[in-house]
Amino acid sequence: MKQSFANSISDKIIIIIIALIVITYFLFITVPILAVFLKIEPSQVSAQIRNAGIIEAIKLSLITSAIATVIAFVLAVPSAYFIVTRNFPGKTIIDTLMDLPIVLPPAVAGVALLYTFAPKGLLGPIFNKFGYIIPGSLIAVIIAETFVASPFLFRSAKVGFENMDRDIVNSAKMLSGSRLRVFFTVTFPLSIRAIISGAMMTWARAMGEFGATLMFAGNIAGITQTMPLAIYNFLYYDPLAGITLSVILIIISFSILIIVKLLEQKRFGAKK
Amino acid sequence: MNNKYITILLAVIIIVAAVVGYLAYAGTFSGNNNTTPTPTPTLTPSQTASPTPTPTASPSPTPTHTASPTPTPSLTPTPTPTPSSPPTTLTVFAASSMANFIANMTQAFDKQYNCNIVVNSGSSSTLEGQIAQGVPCDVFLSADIKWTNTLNTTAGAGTYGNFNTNFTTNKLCVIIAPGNPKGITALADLATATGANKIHIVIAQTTVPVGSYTNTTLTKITNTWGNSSSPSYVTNGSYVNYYTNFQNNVINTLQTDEQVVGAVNLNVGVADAGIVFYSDEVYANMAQQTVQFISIPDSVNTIGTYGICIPSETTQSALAQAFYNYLLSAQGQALLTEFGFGS
Repeated sequence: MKQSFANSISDKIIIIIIALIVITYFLFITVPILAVFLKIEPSQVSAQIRNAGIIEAIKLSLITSAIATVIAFVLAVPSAYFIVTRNFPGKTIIDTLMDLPIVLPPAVAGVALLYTFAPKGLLGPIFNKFGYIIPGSLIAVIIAETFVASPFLFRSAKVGFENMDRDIVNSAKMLSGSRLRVFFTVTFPLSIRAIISGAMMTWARAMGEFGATLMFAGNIAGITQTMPLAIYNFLYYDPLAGITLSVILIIISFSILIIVKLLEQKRFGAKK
Repeated sequence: MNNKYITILLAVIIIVAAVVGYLAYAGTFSGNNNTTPTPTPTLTPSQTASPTPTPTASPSPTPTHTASPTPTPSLTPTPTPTPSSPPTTLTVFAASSMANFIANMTQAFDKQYNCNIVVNSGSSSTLEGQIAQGVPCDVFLSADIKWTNTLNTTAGAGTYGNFNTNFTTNKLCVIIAPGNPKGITALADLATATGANKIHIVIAQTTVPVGSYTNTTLTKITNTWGNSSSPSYVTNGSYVNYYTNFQNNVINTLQTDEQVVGAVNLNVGVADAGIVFYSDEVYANMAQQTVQFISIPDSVNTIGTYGICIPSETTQSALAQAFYNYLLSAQGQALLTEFGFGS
C-alpha cells in the first residue's frame, strides 16, 4: 500500500504522521467495542441467548429495521432522483428540510411523530376512524425507524445520481424512448454503489434507533421493545444480560454489514 | 450485464421478504402473544430480606451481599389459554418503578381473567403525555399522583368513571455501588467533596417522580438537620449546606429510577451512589444483586404517593376495573408491601 520510496525527509514525516493518525482512529473505534466484549464470558452468551426476552428483541429489531430499509428505499430513491434532475423554485429549502431528521434529537423526533399519528394528533384521527391506532404497535416502530434513518439513503442516492455522467443518460434516452427502461438499465446501475452504501447506513441507523422508538412506540416487551430498548431495560434487571445483548447486537450488525460489503466488492470489484 | 444487477437486487428483496414472511408466520406479528418475556427471575416472596429503617440521625448501612453472579433469568412459562375464547389484551402503562412488580403478578391475573396484560413501562410524565395524545391505555400506574391528576384534568382525556385514586406509596433510599469503593456509611458522606474522596452521585431529573421526591428530601435534610435553629440540628454541622454540597457531587441526572440503578450497578468506577426508591432496594435484594443500600430515616424521607387511574378512552373497562380493584384489595396491597411499596 505504501507509495514508492519517498525521497525527501518531509515526505517520510508525512507518511509517519498519517500512519499514526490512521492507527489512532482505528483504535478509537475498535477499542470501546473490544471493551464490551471483554466484559462478558462466552458461557454466559449461550445461556443468555436462550432467554425469551432477548430472542424477542432480536427478532423485532431485525424485522423492523429490514422493513424500514425497504420502505426508505422505495420512498427515498425516486425522490432523490427527482430532486437531482429537476429544478424548481424552493428546491434548496425542500432539499434541506428532507435532511432534518438527521439533526433532530431522536426524542424530539419521537414526540413529533406522536403529535402526528396519535389518536389525538394531526393525522391520527383519520387512522382512528378506520380502527387503526398506531402508537404502541409494531407499525409505530417501523415508522419511527424509517423517519430517522431514511435521510441517510436519501443523501447517498442524491450523491450517486449527481455523480452520474449525464451524457451517458442522454444518449440512452435517445436510443430508447422508455424512461423507465433507461432508469433501470443505465442510471440505477451506475449509482448503485452509493445507493447500497446509503442502504447499509439506513439499516444500521434503524437497528440502533432508541429515543424516537421509546417516545412514539412505547416500551412494550414483545411488541415494540427493540434491542436498544431491551438493553436499557436489562441493564437494570440484569446487567449481564444487557451487556450480552450489546455483544449480540454488535456481532449481528457486523456480520450483515460485512456480507453486504463482500457481495458489493465481488460484483463491482472489476470496475476498479 | 445490466440484467445481473437487477437479478441481484431482486434476490436480496426476495431473501428479505422470505425472512420477514417466515418470522411473521412464526407468530411475531400476532397480537395474542401470550408470553410476556420478562427478564425478572420468578421469585418466591420469602427471599425478601428488607432491613427496617433506623429512626436515628445517622443511619447504619445495610449488610453487604456476597459477590454472587446475577442469576440467569428463567423463561416465564406460557400460560395455556382457555380453549373457549381468545384472551383479551389489557394495556397497562406503568411507571418504571412498578415494572418488576407487575411482571410478577401478571401471570396469575392473566390466568384468572383470561387476559393478556401488555405493559408499557417508562417515566410517569412520558406515559401521561402519551395517554393525553390518545395512545390506547386501559390502566395508568403513576409514581406520582400528580400525573394521574394531570391526566384527569386534561381536556379531551380524563378518567373513566371515578377510577382515579392513590393506591400505594414509596419512599427513597440511597444505592451504593458494588463494593462501596468510597466507603460511604452515612448520608452525610454524600456531601463530601474533598479531593479523592469526592463522591459521584447519580439522581433522576426533577421532572420525573423519583427526581422530584429526591429534591424534596434533600431540602428537608438541609432544613431539618442542617439548620442551626431547627430542633433536630446535627451539632457537628455535617449537614450544613447539604443541598448545595450534594448537588455539587451530582454527575448525571437520568430519566427513571431504573436508569439510576443501572448506572450505579454498572460498576465501572463512575457512579458511586444514587437516590432510588425503596422498592428498588427490595428488588435488588430479591435478585441478589451486589449493590448496597443506605436507608433514609422517615423524618426526612419523602413518602411519594402513587396514583392509579383508568383513562376515559379505555376499551376494556370491565377488565381494567378488575385490575384496579385487585391492586386496591387486601391481596394486592399485601403483594405491594412484599415488593417494598406502601412503606
